[in-house]
Amino acid sequence: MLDIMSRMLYSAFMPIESASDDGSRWSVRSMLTCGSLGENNAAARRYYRRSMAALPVLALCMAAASYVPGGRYVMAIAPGLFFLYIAVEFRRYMFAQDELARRIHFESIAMTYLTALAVAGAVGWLYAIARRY
Amino acid sequence: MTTSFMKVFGSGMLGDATAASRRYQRRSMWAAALFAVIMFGLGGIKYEIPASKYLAALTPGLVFLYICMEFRRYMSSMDEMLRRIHLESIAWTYLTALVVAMFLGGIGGVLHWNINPMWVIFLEPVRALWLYATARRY
Repeated sequence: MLDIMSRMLYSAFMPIESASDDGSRWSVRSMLTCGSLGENNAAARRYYRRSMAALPVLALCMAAASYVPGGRYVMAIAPGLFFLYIAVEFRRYMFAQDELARRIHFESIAMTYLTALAVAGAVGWLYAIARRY
Repeated sequence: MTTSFMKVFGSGMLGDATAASRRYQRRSMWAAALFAVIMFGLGGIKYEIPASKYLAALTPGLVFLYICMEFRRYMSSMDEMLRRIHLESIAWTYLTALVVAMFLGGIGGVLHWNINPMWVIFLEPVRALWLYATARRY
């Protein structure tokens, strides 16, 4: 009992960075800020580098498109293309991970998907009813 | 793994005839039927009962929440291989959804579309397609 209490207290008050040292090799900070497990391998670095490089390209495209006639079509398509590129990079990154890291990612995405379905069902109907009145 | 396209696409499952899969299908069907009865019933009385608007607003979310919980339970009961295929197909569906949402958001923003979040339900056939594509690799 004391052991359980001490673990709970430790979990509640420990610094966030040291949480990863308590039996887990994953970095809590990396999970909460980047949505990744903080792996320091070549594939992870490539994924971060390319995703980060794509962001200013998107911002530049959007800014430039607002000054060009017909740029609204670029503004319409650019975010989709940007996310398509990131999705392709993420897929490549996932296939480069070891079995455990991939499994953790898959499971977290599956739970996100189910949450999104439930939330979209609720919000979608609220939206439909709100538009009627 | 041999899988029929129509079977996977029609049900979003790999046709595993276990007790857990039958329970999941049965409960989901009941929930969907209840959902249809409530929504059509409330539509039929044109939301004239005072609390019916709130019931109509909450029902879809609660039904989907229930189905999602059942799906999670069903996933937990699968063997490692089936679970892996399902998880992988959901992961690719999620990425597809992000990309489609960004395309729709961008185009909708320019063309002033009002897109109802309920359209997310059309990710289920996408998941079935990914499920089929993933299952063929194993």
